[in-house]
Amino acid sequence: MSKYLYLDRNTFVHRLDPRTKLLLTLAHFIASAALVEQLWLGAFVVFETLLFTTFSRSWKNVHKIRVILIPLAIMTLLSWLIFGTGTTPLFWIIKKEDLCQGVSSVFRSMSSIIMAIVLLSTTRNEELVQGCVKFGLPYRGAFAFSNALRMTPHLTGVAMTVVAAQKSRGLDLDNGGFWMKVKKTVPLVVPAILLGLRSADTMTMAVEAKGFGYTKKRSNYMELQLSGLDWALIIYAILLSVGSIVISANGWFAVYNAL
Amino acid sequence: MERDHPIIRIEDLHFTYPKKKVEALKGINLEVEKGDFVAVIGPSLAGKSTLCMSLNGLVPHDTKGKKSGRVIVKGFDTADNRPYQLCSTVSMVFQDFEAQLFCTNAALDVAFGPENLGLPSEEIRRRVDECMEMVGLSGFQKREPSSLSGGEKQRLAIASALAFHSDILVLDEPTTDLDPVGKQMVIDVADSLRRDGDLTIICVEHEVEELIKANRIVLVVDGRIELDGTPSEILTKAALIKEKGVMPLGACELQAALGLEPTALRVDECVERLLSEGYRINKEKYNALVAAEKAREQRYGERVIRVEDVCFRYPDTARNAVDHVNLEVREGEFLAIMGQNGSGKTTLAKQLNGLLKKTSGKITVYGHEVETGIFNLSRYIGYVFQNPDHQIFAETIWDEVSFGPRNYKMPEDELKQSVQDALRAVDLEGREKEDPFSLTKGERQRVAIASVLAMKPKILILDEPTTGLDYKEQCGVMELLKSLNESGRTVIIITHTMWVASQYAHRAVIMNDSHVLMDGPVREVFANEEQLISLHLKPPQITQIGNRLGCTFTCVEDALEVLERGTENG
Repeated sequence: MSKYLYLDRNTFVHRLDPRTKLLLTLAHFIASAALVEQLWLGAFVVFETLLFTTFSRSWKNVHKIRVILIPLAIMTLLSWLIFGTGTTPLFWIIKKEDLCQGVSSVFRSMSSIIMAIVLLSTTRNEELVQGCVKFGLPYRGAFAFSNALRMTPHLTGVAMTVVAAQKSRGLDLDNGGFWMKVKKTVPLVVPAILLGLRSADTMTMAVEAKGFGYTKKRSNYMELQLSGLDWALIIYAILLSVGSIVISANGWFAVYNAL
Repeated sequence: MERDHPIIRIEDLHFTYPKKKVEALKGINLEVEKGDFVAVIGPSLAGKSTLCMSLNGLVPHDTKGKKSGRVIVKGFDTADNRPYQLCSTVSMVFQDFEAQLFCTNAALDVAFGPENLGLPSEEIRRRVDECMEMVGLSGFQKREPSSLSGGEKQRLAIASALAFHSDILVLDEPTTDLDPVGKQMVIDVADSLRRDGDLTIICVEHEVEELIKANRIVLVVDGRIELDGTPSEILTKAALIKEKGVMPLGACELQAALGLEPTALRVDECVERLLSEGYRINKEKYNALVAAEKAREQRYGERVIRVEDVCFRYPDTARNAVDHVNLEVREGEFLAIMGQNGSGKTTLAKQLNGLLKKTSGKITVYGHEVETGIFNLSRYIGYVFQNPDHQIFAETIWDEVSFGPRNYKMPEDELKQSVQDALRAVDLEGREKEDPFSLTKGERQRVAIASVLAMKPKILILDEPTTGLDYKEQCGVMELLKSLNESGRTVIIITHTMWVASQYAHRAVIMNDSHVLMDGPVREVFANEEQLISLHLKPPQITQIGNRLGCTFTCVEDALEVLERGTENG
């Protein structure tokens, strides 16, 4: 079982240059953040995210993180319904504007997260680093970012082994109240942290021993090349970003004003 | 830059880790010529890894501490050059091989070094394929390192070090997780590289059998070089190296025990020597040994574990990791599950206490189906993980060992007694208030065993209980398991350390490619030397010597019992 989000598949999204995927993801973030009142344009961005997820065959990873997505969606919606400033009653204490804003926020935030998942499902850490470096980010910074991505699943793996070891000693993690469960995590946290620190320390030494920083002109095993499709999607990503900002700034196609 | 001859020059090297009063290295002086294969042996905490890390500058640049003396590699003083500057001169495989694999596929891990060197992509690809082939990982290029078995990861780490094409290759215990044939292969690869291209090899190893190929052996004890010479000069001092906590060669130990000058290092040489000295097998005595083992089998109790047609498949994989396995274990047995890396040993064992849920088939433990859950099963089966650090968390040994019984809400009086008994069994009585993190790995392994024993399980399963321990610690842990078995507990170990299985286990189960291929008394299984080798398992020297003489020895004591000078019986 893979500990990374990357899914080794051969879809057209996988084959895209990492720079294209980074720009597309960034464009989606911008559009999702900008198109607050443009409900239908926002819906288009969401629809597009669903298309990318389907074409890249990344639903499996979206399903994996449903435990984060679902509570986040519920919390976002509830926040709007409770703290919103809408005036048009719909039913009970719910206001029409708050419900619309809430639903829009849920879709926009989910769309951004899912697009990031698509990026990580279709792009190796090393490709991301290479893409970031091509955009001018220093290699050290990009490598640190990729290591952060790597360490999370690594530490999860360590934690799973620690859980198994303590369960073998009769640690019952399923029963008991909140404080009892918190208390029960101590035997898990201590070994996991110590092992994590130890492997991080060894990894730091290994990275240096493997010549990290040997030359300023680091070469690459995988060579990046922009195809025609890449260029087309890069142009689309730029148009989406700029267009979203312009539309949002001018209040064009706003739906809520009409509510 | 200084003169580059010899290729390694260490002058009066001292090193002390921060907050430690005792020096890890106490005045090491060593010169290594280009093309040498130097094996470094010694007990745990002797300073072997510190010595290795000083060769590429990790000591003192990344591992802080107080250093004096000089280390010159190929003319470069490591004090003035950081490890990344020396990487094309010295490449290293770390003891913790998993931490040095950080890419998303195997090829990228091997390519990481050459990429840092700025080599052209074509050359990187050539080196990746070449090095992966050398370590027997051709076709694994796209595999994610975390999906590989321990042995495969270790070989990948070696390939990533080889890809530098450096002048010096430092291997810090490169074969701990490899099966016996895998160990031999790694040493063979290193040796052939040395012969082909002037590569200098420094290799730290606990198991000396593979080191006969080295042209020089250095024994490090307590931060000092105690012995330095050719394999025949060092390994023939069987009693001395055993006393220093290093496993002696079976052939040499046998010759010494028979009162002969241990001059023969290899199996065939030893057999020839024994025959020329007039040693013969006393068949009557051998038959008596076998009969005693048969009698022990009769004394085993009821069937406590039944594995019926069990299959297990990990998610997202195309084939079973355990495939239609049947196994029965009786009370009082001492069972060793062995097999080459990735054969399914640990996967099978983890299903016995419910850590993994079988895909199909049936497993019962003392009549209870494993579906009863890990919490209930842990009263019957104690499972000790390979790395004791996966479970140690408490501030004192007492708290650590009492953790399991407290989870079962054992009455306080019974708990105290149980913890006391467990600590006595592992020889840690009187050290209850010590911090478990301050112990050596061998002692931490004992704490891990005690913490499982305190729960009074009837069956003990230990995953690689001797990995990462030196010979003395290995003997200590195995003697402990032997006494626990003799006091009535069923013991199951998963191991690829062949001498451990042959000397201590009663029965051997050999797995291959997810199936059980051989199952029987250790002596019978180890008699099939050719089949074992075909399964990547090579019996220890003492067993091979016995097999050549016509009967199977499981340990030196067996041989002493059976060999007689000048008699031909049966």
